[in-house]
Amino acid sequence: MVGYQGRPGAGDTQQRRRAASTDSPAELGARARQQAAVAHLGEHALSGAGLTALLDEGAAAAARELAADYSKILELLPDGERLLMRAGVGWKDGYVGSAFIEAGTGSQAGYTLLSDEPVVLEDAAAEDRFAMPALHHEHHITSGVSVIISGREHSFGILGVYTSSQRSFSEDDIHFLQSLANVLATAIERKRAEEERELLLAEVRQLAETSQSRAAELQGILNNMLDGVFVSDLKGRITLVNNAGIGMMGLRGEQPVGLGIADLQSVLGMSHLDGRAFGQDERPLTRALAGETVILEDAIIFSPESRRRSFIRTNAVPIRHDDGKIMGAVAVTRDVSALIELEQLKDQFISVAAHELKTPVAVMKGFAQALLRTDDNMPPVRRKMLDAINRGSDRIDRVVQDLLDISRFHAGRLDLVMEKIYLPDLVEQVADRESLSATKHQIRLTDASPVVVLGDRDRLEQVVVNLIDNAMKYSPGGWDVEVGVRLAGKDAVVQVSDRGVGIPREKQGHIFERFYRAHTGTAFDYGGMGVGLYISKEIVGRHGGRIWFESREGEGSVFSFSLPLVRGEGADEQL
Amino acid sequence: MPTSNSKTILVVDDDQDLLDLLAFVLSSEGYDVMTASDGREALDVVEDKMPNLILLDMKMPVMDGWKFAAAFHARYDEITPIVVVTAAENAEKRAGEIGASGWISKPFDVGSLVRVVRQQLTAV
Repeated sequence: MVGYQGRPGAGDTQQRRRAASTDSPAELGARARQQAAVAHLGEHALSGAGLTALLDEGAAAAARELAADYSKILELLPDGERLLMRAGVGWKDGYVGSAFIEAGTGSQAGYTLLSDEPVVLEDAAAEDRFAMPALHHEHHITSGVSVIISGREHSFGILGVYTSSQRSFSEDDIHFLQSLANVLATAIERKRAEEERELLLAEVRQLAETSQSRAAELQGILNNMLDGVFVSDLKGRITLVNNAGIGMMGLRGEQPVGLGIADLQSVLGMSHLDGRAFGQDERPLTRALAGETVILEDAIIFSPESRRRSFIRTNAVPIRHDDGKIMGAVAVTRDVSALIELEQLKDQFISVAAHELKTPVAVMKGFAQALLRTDDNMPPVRRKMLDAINRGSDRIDRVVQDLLDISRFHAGRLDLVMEKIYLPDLVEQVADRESLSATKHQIRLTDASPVVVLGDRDRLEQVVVNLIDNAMKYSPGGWDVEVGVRLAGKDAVVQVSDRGVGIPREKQGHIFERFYRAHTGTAFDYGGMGVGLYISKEIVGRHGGRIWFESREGEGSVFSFSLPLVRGEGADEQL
Repeated sequence: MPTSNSKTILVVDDDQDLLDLLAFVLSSEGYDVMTASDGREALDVVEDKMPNLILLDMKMPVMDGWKFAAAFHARYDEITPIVVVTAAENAEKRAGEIGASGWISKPFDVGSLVRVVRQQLTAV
């Protein structure tokens, strides 16, 4: 509420009040009508009348009750430099709703806003506080009074009444005008609040629509994917399964309800490739919930309905809040049956082909050896030829054996026959056997720690043979190959060293890869399939050990592999 | 041919070259060698003359090694040792399946073959 301090030169308050108590009945009646007009406007505002209607009513009531020729309500525009006439009485056509008044000292309205109190215009001609806008000139306005319609953050504008002839306005007049203005101010504030609320609601509705259509989009994507998607919440309850996933579960149409991760596993009939069930902590979703990123976890699923086994490959990751806390997990699962079946077919093919080679190789090798054995008088040249055939067939046999091993490794079908093995003996036996056919090399046993390991004898021999063969193959100069067995903490380590051509640094990273041959195309290309070390790595890995090497080009290599000692047998307790 | 070792060995294999090889090697060692290309032929040969040792391939057409072994044991009470000659990795297992007393993997070292044969013939 704006307090009025009166115009410059007004009398004191007491006098004014005394004047009021001696008003005539006509004046009393006028004031009663004024109060009624304010009350009326207030009621209309409360009953939800539109703002325009209220402003019109306010302007009309002001002009009527104050018997003024003109009244106007001006709204201060956001730029703070102009006001727009929103309502008015008495003006010529075309002004209400479109006339602009300058703010600041360019008009009474502007000046009123600046003064922050009601302003009375006694005589336009004598007024020097502010200018008269064109509007006033056109209507020959002489006197008037204007009050501020206040607002929460800034004034809404001005309510003013004007007359063409000179006239004074009393304190009561100003008081009445201000009351009208206050009612309008309240109504305007409420309207503004309502509008804001409407805007917010519209925004919320818009957001809801956007997120709904986004959700529909995502749903569309999920349900048209070929891969199955399974989402779990933090407690391990499955909250979403896409169509492909539902298909994998052998269900139709609806989202499964109330399933946990364990239930999911059993509906899918999911097991490891070797038929073992997944342990509680092994399931991809469970691991993802614990924070792990699971990649390419292979499994078999079985659909009792179609009686089909399928191979699936799963990736699973945790779903996190913005702050990084885990709120769930998602698993994406692909049917790789075709891939795996193809691989199996290929492995079968390799296996069958390899088998077929064995008999002809036996024939070649057998006859070469037989001839060598039975003819003591064979000329040396012929002897050498037969030796070559013998060696050649051995090489073929190695390749055949490699092929068979590879095809079996791949299928995960390698069965290890485990027994306690006294390692130094095994290594020595292999070294001796290799020495028999080693023409250029001496194989020396350097260390023979008495260690016992658990392993498959044939397979471990295979690894040692592979390392010794490589050592000999790649030291053409015929230096010694040294083999040793030692104790290293909880492991036994077998080491094979040579002083041969070594492995170039840039090739070292690939040495254990299948089919990788480090010396292809170089002077030291001795053929072979490049699978020996790959197989050795697999064998050592299956035994729970590691295989590694050090090598320098031109100086030689040291290949080592470790095997865990048989539990409870330390060096002192060994044999 | 009269030799110091008049032991007879029956070699059964569907590969003719391998048969020739084994025949060559074993006769050079002084044994009498009989051959057959499949289980059926082998049964006929055995009917004619019981050998001291049988070297048996497993995978053969017409009648394979398993069927031969079964028929042989059913028909005869003889304890003629059978040595399985096979390209399969699980040679030992195959030998066990038919109650063979030994096995040889293909391809084999001729010296080892001769050793095994000698052992089997002296063991009886």
